[in-house]
Amino acid sequence: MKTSMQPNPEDNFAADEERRLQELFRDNAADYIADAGFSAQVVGRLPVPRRRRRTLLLGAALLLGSAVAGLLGGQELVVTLADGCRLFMDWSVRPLPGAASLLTIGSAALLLVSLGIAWWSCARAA
Amino acid sequence: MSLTDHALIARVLVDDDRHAFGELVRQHQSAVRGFLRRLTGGRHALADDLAQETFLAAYRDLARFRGGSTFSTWLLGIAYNQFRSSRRRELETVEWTGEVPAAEALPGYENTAPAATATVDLQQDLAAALLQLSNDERAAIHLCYTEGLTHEEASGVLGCPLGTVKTNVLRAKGKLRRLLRAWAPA
Repeated sequence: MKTSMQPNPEDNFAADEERRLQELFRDNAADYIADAGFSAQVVGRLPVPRRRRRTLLLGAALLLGSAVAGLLGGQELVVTLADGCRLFMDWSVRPLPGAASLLTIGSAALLLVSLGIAWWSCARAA
Repeated sequence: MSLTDHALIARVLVDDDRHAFGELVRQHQSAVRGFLRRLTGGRHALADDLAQETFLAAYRDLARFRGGSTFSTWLLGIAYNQFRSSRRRELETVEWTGEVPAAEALPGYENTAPAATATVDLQQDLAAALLQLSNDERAAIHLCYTEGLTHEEASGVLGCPLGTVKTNVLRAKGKLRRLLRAWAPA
């Protein structure tokens, strides 16, 4: 007669089966798969970083804005820029520039700063 | 010293550090590719494509990883979803023939050594037997026996109830026992 202290043969059989299955999977587990360029491929396929995308967009917008300003301003803008440069060079001999000259210098400086930022953005994103 | 998964994840999230993500891929690629190779029945090219998609999806959704499970378990869950989507696409385009791939395609074949013919035979028989299981059974038994996950963890990876995982493992064990009877000790 089976007592509570005696192990159940069916339990033993199940435990044996379980142990064998565990051994089977452990012994036949696939070996470590070498990377062999896999991670580099994944990293190469990652989307463009958000920060870099923002910088590129800023650079493109500034370049486009400058180009549009150049197209609209045309020859006058070149003349204005040249005047601004000449004014800057003659700064020491002129006591104080007039309001119109200040406006010209401001516009030219703004354009130069825009171009500078655009160049910097593109250089940073590259 | 290698950084922990959590430290690497923090670097990716805060600094968008691609090297850190590359390190995460390097650390987990073997488990993910191995899992997918089992699921795809040894179709290595398909498994690697799915593994790449798995890591790209993980990168996109990294902010959603809350650390409730280990990173590897989370990845295996994504890998299983990728596999299921791929199977759905495959079934939509071509009827699955259920053909057993050539021995060369089975996992473990590349480890063949002439001196260990019996081991290789067992590996191939196990791989072939695993192909006889349903996808859910194969995934459940792989996660619990090869990856060493608990039933609860496997249930999280597979996105199905605990009872279903237990049933699938039980069924898989029954089928494997029958299919690998020849290897049972006398």
